[in-house]
Amino acid sequence: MSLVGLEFAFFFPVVFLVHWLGPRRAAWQNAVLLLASVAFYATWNLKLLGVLAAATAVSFGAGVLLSVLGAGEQDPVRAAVGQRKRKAVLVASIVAELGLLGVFKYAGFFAESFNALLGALGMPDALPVLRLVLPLGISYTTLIQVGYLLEVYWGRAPACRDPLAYSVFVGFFPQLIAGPIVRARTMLTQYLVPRHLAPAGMAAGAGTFLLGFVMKAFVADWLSPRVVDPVFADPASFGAGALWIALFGYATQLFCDFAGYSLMAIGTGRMFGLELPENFRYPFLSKSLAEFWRRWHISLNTWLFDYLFAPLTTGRSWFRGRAGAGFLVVFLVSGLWHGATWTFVLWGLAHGVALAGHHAYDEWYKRRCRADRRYVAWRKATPYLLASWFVTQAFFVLTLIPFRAPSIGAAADFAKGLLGLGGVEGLGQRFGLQAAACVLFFVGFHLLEIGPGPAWKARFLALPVPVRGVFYGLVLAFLLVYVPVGASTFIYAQF
Amino acid sequence: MTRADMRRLLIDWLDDHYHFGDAESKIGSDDASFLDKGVLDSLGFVALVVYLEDTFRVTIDRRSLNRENFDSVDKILAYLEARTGAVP
Amino acid sequence: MSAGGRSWGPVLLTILCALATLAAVDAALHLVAPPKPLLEIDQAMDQYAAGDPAVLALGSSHARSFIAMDKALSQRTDGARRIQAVPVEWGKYTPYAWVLKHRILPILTERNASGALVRPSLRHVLLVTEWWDSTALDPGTGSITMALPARAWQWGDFFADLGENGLTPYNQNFLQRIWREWWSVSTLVQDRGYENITKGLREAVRGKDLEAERASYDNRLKGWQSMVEEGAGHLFDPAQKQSLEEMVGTLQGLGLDVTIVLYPRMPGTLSAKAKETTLRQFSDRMQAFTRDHRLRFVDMTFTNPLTDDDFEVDFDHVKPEGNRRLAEWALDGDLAFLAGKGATGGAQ
Repeated sequence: MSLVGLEFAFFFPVVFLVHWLGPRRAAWQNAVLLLASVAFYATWNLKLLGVLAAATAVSFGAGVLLSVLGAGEQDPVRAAVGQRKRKAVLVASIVAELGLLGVFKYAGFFAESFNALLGALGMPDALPVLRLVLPLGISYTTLIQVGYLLEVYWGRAPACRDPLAYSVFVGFFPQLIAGPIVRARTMLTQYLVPRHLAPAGMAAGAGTFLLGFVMKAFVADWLSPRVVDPVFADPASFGAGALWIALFGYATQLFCDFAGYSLMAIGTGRMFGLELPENFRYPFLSKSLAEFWRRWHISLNTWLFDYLFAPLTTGRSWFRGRAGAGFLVVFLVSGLWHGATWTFVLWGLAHGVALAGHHAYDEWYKRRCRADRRYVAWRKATPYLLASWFVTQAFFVLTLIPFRAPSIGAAADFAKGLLGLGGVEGLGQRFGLQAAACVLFFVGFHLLEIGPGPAWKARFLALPVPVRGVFYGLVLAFLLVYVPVGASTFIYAQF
Repeated sequence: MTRADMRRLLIDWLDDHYHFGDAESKIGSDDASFLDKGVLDSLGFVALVVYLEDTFRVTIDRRSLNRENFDSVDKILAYLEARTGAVP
Repeated sequence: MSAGGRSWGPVLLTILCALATLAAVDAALHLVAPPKPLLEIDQAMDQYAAGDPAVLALGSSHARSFIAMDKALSQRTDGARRIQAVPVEWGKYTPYAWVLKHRILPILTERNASGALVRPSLRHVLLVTEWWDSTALDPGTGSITMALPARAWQWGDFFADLGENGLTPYNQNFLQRIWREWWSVSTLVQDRGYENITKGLREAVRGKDLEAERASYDNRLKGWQSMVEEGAGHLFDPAQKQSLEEMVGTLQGLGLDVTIVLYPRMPGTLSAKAKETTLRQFSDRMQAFTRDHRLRFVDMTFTNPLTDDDFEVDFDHVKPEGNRRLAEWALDGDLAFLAGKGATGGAQ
């Protein structure tokens, strides 16, 4: 099941009614959401539900232990022993969580790569290549749990003593497939109290869900089979023009697919009185790569920043103060997180190097600013901002080639094709009303955020309720006519 | 070191690395949120931590290492005063 | 988006206006692409349970042609003899066998308190078929995703499959069917997958694009002809053959008279190669099968009163007028026995 499938239209009303018609108590609401999440997970793979349950039990238990060991100990010797035990519990539980992820997701990749290396040296394969079915959302639930354990260990968040609330915190069904990756301090606290269905929350939830649905089920799912997949599957059969269109199409598809699903998850959460974290904030308006990664997949990148980059660059190791090196590490990890293939590693490395390079440039530019204040003004001038925006977006779009291509060789072929000849033959006949609607939506979505856009948005929201209702009805009618029939899998669900 | 000294060092650092003479006007008041005012982004926050540790010879423990504790001039100075015993 | 503030009024009013707009658009689109309700298994079983037909016509969507034949037979026999069509969308013998076992037999063999059959009139079963039905369920992809018995399932069947296999494209078809049933009056829902609305709107604005229609027709025809020709290499898949034999065995075991009816094919879509290979081979093998199992055999593949104009744009199904003529022709000829002439046996 996914939030965008027809099955959700059967599932959601039942869960919604049972949740809100029951007692207004956190335990009831959490139990309903947990049951619903179990059912949601089971529609993907009932047998692997045990893996998620076991991981959740381990992290919950570890959290309780961390809060109990050495707590309130006055004697310094005993306090030190308690602290050592806490560290041991932390390490063991994180190793267990990451180990589970490692076995399911990376064992095959590393074995294959190691065997390939041996093969290049003329030696036989040494390791068996495991290809296990990936438990749904394991990349997300692992990060949620590791983040929780670190927060409890560092004393930034209290350990959760409510297994029901904790289980929903980890496995809440809207966030299961593709995040957002939630944090204990902002999310766990919401599950510990009863939620109330407020008109504003319901309206915001439904509106957010609808926006996400348009992005995912219309824009992304229209682009994928018609423009992106055919070209990336066989780039040699298309001209350079078609390759460029497919590349930009993929950037749009990736954004609308992922941001759209995130909005649907957030909207669903709001309809249950829960506020999931924002996950995208108009990344295509970014004027630097650092800004881009603060706006794209916010929950993952803030996680990597808070639990990897910040400790690394503020600790006492060689990485202290070395932001550039920190970027390399973080984005290598990010690349691997996205997938156990060399193309993702290459993608991560490219962004790590670019961020390190941009950081070095930034430091150089700041030295110029200190020496000459004109550099400060130039950086705020329109030509500079436009150039920054262009370079940032061009870099992101071009690095989508290894992100999307099935192999490094295929990525190289695609890149070569971009510099070749030829127009949009093979794609031309696909462009009609729906293509125009996709482009219009994408551009309009971003224009509403800049210049007079916010004022237009405010004016729309100030329109009489019946007028807005008619607008939403027309949107629904459009979707019912044009939303592609049939199943589609989220790009980010495979991570 | 007095609070005023620490404040001067902090403002100078912000000027040198981010605002080039405009730090005071950017911050507005000492209780204003750095996040809300756009004084420091997340990278700047990390750089600030390293600067504070190196300059004021304090160790910012992991429990305290979150933006909320360092999101205004007042909060930073209060933290430093508690760690260094500086004279207000 | 819109904030509901502290009151439910604006929220509910927004939802109401949105739904009213949707209903109005739906009603307007009804003029462009009116939904064509088709008989499905659930309705067929309801009709069967409410009646007492003498004939069951079990087949793929082709079985819907026997709705017209039911009318004709009823007229000829003053209502004494009725045909119940049971269309299993997308065909194939394994799905027919499932429908027979799980949906038809419980009704067919239902007995009252005194042990007598509740519906004793059933005499004949027509298995309406064509070469496609004998090919494998899985088109070679290792997965079954088409409409199949998900169309004939009930909620218990769905949840049983869900528990065993999780949500799959196969059992998702059940939900799609239920959704279409619940919204049977909605053009927007019924049109999904058919694109008659977009086609109708395009034609309303720009007029018919005859050249594009011709090109599309030629393209589809080429594909259709290839498909039929390639069918020769896939006839009588072992699993389908077994299902066919099981069905025939079950029906004969109940004392029913079974007829294999080969459904008419659109003449203009059949290449010489297809006629000589796929269709000839299927007909010959099926005739041999009916001989071995003492069944009646009615081959309407080429012998029928229909022309190309009697077929729908999908090359496969017959238009209402064509069904009427086919019914009269068949009841005057090879299916005359359905009226009670030369009839034997009955359910036991």
